[in-house]
Amino acid sequence: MGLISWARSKSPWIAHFCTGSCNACDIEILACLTPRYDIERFGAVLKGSIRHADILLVTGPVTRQVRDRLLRVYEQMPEPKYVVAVGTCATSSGVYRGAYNVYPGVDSVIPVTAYISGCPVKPENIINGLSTLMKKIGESK
Amino acid sequence: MSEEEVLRELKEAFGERILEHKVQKMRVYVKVPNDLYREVIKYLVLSKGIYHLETITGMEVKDGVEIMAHLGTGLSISVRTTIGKEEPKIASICDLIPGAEFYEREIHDLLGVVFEAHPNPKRLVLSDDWPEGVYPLRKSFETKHNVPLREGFD
Repeated sequence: MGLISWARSKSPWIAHFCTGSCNACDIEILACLTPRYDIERFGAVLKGSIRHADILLVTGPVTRQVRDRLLRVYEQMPEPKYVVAVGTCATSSGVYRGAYNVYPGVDSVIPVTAYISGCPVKPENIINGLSTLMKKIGESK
Repeated sequence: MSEEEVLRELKEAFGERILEHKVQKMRVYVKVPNDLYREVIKYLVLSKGIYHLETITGMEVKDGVEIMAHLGTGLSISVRTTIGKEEPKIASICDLIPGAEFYEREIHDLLGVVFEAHPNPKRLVLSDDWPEGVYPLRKSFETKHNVPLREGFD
């Protein structure tokens, strides 16, 4: 474990991007940040700008209209970047799969590092997914 | 006004030209020919003061595209008309009810009905890369891969 990756794993800054979800996953992400679940104890802070973030949390099925915006946001992230697909819709489009206006999951548009399933995801799942990702980041060179 | 009174007044005003009607609790449905659709709504708005438009719905049925304008508060009056599938066209009601603009744009996007004299006939709900002339809520639309998804990081 290098010093930089150790430091990185202790302060994962998060940006949150909704690509067309029903807002249930977004509310669960916000619940994670409130005192009851409090992912700030792992050093995770929700950032307003994608340029300050290490981890991009994507919720919802990627619609045709938001595809270019998602790519643009992804390109603006500084390296190293990690994308987490939060919720069933982001992982596979869920019940919208095959509909005329959505892409089949975030990974058909941008590379995804981790998937968290659930409809909506439980805050415990998000914490588990993020802590697993942080562990992996810490182990990388 | 009760449901029967509304229906009686509509029948007095338009007579035999009302093709079908149905009365339920708090609902009155009248089916009219295409050229009467705007006239019935004009009558309701200007003569009866029923100018609150709940929504306009559209659906493809056996012999065309059916659109329904739901007017009124509490008791709702649904004016329905079936437009032929080839070149579906109907007069816009935006000059009577400005709020109809968005509903008509949505129906044009999804079902391909052209609203004549619409003040702003731009795309509303479909994405920018969607091709012209493909209407996703038509029965002839194939769900999968009819409009290809874009690949790569262009």
